[in-house]
Amino acid sequence: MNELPDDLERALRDLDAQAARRASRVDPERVAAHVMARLRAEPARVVARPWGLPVSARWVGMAAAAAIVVLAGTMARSILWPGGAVGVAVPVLAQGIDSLDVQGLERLLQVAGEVRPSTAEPVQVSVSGTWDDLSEEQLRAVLQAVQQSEETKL
Amino acid sequence: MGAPVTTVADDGDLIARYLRGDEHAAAELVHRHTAPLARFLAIQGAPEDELEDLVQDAFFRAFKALGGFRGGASFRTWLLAIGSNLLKDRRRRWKKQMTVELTPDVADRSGDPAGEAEAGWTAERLAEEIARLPRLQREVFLFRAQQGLEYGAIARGLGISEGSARVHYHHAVKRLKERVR
Repeated sequence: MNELPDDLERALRDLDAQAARRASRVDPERVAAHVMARLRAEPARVVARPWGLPVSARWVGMAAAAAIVVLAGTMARSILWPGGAVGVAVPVLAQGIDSLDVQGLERLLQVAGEVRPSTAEPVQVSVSGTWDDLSEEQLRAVLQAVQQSEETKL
Repeated sequence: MGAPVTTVADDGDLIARYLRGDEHAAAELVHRHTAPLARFLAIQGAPEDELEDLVQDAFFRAFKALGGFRGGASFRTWLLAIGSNLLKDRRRRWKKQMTVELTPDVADRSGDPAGEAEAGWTAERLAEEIARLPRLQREVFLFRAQQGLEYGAIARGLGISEGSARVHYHHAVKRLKERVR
């Protein structure tokens, strides 16, 4: 290479020739076979994380969102029909739920804990919004609170 | 009827195919990059009896981490950087072997006894001095001087700026010139 003084370049060429001789003893077929076998035994984790959360936190988030959907529907029905109309489907559009801060969520859960629906009929609810902004701890707290609320009802 | 047209898939295509589950694409990548990777590791003193294992491990780690490969760097430079990290991790084990193994196998310069003696001495010293270079200087120097990579590719592969790659190369050459006479 022209960038190097002659003696250095010559030494490098010699050294590289030596390295190339060693490298030639590495069999690409054998390498490929071993690597493929290892990859089959331990597949690559190619996981897309569009929300930028660790996978575990994502699952917690999804579970929390599902639980809140049921809870919010139950609350809405209890408020709108205190007598407990059986078999009524209540669509609740919880817009902007992801904009709630921690205090907001706590208030929501507090209210949820006070609701005592008279029936256990399922309610159809749709929720728009994501939970990206919640930390894993916050999401766990939400789940825990929902679980406690459900246990109280039972 | 014309001759069949053969196209050679670039590394990006092969990576995409592998990520979709095509093992042949991964095998093609291994065939394509084994020799440069092995040469890169060998010139840094990887013992011959561990060289293939080291190459396998580097490929395995590269494929395992392909989900995080953004394609800004070439697969080659990315793979070499992974190999370099592995080498660093294992270097302690080999430290004593390195210089010993590099000594006896110097290039044949038949017909020029004086040149042979000079080349032998210089190659040996060069191996020692390359091993003594700070890591970034060593990697940039070998990426450039041995692998023939452009500064831009080196910079992307090592996660540094192109200017920084040039500076590291300059310092490496200066240091080697001072020490290898």
